[in-house]
Amino acid sequence: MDPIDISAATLVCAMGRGLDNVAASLREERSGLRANDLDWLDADTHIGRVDGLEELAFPAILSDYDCRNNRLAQLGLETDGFAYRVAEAAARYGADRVAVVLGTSTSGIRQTEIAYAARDPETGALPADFHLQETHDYFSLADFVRRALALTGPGAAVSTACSSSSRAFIDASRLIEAGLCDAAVVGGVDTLCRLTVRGFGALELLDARPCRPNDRSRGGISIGEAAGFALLERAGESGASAAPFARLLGFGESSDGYHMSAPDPAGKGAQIAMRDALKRSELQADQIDYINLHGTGTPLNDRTEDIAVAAVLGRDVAASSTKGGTGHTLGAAGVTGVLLAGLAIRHGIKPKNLNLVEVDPDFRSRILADTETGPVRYALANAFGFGGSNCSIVLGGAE
Amino acid sequence: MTRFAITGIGVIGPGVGSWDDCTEVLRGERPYEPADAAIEAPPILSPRERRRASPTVRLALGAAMQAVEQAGQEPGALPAFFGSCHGEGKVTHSLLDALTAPEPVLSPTQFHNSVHNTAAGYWTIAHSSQVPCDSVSGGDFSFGATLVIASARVVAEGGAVLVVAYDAAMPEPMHSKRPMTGAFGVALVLDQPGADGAICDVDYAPLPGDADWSAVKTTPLDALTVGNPAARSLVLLEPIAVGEQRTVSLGCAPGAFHAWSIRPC
Repeated sequence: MDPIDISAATLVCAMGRGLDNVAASLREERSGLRANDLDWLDADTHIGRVDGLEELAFPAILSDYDCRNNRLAQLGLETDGFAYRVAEAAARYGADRVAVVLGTSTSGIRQTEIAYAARDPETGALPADFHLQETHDYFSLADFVRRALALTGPGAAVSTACSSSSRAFIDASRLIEAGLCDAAVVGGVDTLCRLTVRGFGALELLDARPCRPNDRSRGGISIGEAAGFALLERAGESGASAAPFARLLGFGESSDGYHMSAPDPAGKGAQIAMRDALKRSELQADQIDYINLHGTGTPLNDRTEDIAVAAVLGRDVAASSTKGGTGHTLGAAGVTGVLLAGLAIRHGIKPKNLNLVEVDPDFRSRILADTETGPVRYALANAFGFGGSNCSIVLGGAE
Repeated sequence: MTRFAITGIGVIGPGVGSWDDCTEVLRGERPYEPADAAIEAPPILSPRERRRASPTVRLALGAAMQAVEQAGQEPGALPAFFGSCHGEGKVTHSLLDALTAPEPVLSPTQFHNSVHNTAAGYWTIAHSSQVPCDSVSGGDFSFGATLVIASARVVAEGGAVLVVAYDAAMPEPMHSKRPMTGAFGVALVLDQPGADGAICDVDYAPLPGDADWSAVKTTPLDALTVGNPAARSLVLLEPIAVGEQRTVSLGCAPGAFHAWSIRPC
């Protein structure tokens, strides 16, 4: 495929606000997970919480969109000068030529949880000041970001569970390639809510301790929240005030066609996604220097992913999950992994699996127990989701 | 101008159980008699999945099968783009309701069946298919958003794709906040221009501003077109049904409209 520049990016997650802070956490091997301290979450678990959302000044003109998810989106837009970089692109191409394609798995459902708890005891009606369309709709996030950035190009929410925000990169790349837009704001936002904490609890996939992806005694996920945004443009066309963050070289996507919540044990779909990503990027497996694994910390996910990675990329490529630091940010997990892979390239760092004590002895891929430094030319990031939805993204450095 | 052909159409909605039904109503060949959409579980699902499949999943898969059969395509072989405003509204409601209990216990099956891509997941599981399956939401513009994203793949990478849009009214108390009319599912197989068995060719290009002239043509199904995001597809389907070359306006997001030129083959 024709390469696409990630001409600007930002990430806000438990490991830090902004790319520099997140990179510092990676270098210093600092996890952002903490014992749950949100009283309304009411669960004995560790969370990857973003501080400051409750106090954030939300744009008054868009107050109908006010919910935890759009607050985190707003915080993201205000970080790393992202909104400014988008404004530059909009001035260059026209606001109608900039698309917004954003992944989310639960959108602003925390607001609906609050509204359900406040239903009228007589009629069952939701509170009058609850704005369902502007907060609960899956499209709420993309709608809010389009309005906040005054963009009028194509817009959509992508919601393929935990691969949502990787697929946003794929869909938007094709919009650019087909000439339907010149630039696209992609990525995604997901925030803590009771639905996902209780839901993963019901599936017995929640670790009470901080999650330990790829560890032999891993016991499930820790849920986190994140906003990750990237501005995509045709490679070399940006002409913006700052150098691009990284380059999107290829992507692959597939389905398991197996089960709604359990991965295909052979990892067939995951293998197809990684192979297609290599093919589109015209790279060989041994050219990949670092893999940011989906690595949720559930026994089944990590085992399946290891089988698939070993089959496609062999046993020598350094691989880690960063969810021990960020938590599993669900609909934002894809963009979080992609941007962390980008940081690996920019800073020449292969981050270790945080919280890992002993690598699962059955694993065949090269799981990092220690952080390594050295040039990372090409990196691959995986994201898999319920419904058997798989995405792999290959990045290179901006030239 | 972005161009593709449509080679298969499926429709399930109130009083219209197929594209043929829909065509007869749009042509005025028979009176429209609204009735609840007949949404049976498609036989492609295993008995267990048939029991678990929500009405919205049935709606989506039923329409998808019709379109794929008309296009003469292998169902599990087409990359698919599912689009819906709310996805699994009914399942989401029962989880939200359960969360209000003092000690909430959620059903694990309901939880994984609440994701927006549940219909997409069931579709690939039914066909043991590894082809990619997207799940898109554009609010009231979900059909247009899904169609634009799917057509970008047809243009950028060649081949054919399946587009499925589906939406059903949510239960109370959400319905009162976000009313929607009936249950409607539509599916299209998009292929390269000039593909064998093309029903029509479609070109589209951006329109400046809020150029919504979708209300120009009145049909017996207008209440659906306005009231259900998936049924906004009827703006595009009407010229195909009556066999007239026409250009219609359809949005893919608030303030982002395209002029769609339909040329029946």
